[in-house]
Amino acid sequence: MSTVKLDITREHCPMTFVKTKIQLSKLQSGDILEVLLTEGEPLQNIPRSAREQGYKVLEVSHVGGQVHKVLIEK
Amino acid sequence: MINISQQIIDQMFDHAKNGLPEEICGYLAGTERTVTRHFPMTNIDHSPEHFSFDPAEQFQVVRTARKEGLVLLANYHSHPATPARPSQEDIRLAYDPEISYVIVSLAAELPDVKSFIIRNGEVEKEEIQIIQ
Repeated sequence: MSTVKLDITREHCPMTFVKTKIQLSKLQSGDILEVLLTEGEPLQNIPRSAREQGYKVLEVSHVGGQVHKVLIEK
Repeated sequence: MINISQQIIDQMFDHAKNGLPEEICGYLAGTERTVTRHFPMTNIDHSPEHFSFDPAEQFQVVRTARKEGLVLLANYHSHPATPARPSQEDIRLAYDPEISYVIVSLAAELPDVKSFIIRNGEVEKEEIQIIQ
């Protein structure tokens, strides 16, 4: 099991989704994707979209300033 | 209001007809609320009732649009047998508050196209100004 990091703090919709989906599709089952994202639309939608796609959202935490971290398990 | 040429509208209708019986989808790009580029894309759900974009294709299209100095103005999809109105799922999956949501319907004899602004589950119809 490995953890892969993805920083989408400088991206806007739909690239926030696109990059997250592409990265998730590359993971092995049980791997974890650690996503750094910003408040607003990304924080509101990325965890929701991940759950809807059947992934497990392990954690959503505040890193600092506008940046949050979401842990998604495949 | 969003400006779309009759040519691009006809391209979307063709895309929808060629995709029957499935829903089709794509992006519309341009500048200042005027669509100048049409990107027909793949509905990886291959379903007559719902659609999903291919993330790799989305990545390419968004990058191409940016390189051409264009902005993503709308995504569009078709309703093969139902009116050009957002379904509950369309509303639920409308994550991007910045773009318009264009729906092409082939339900009636003449194809129909409508545009909507969808924010936080609230749907507002948007006028399409057809330009030459």
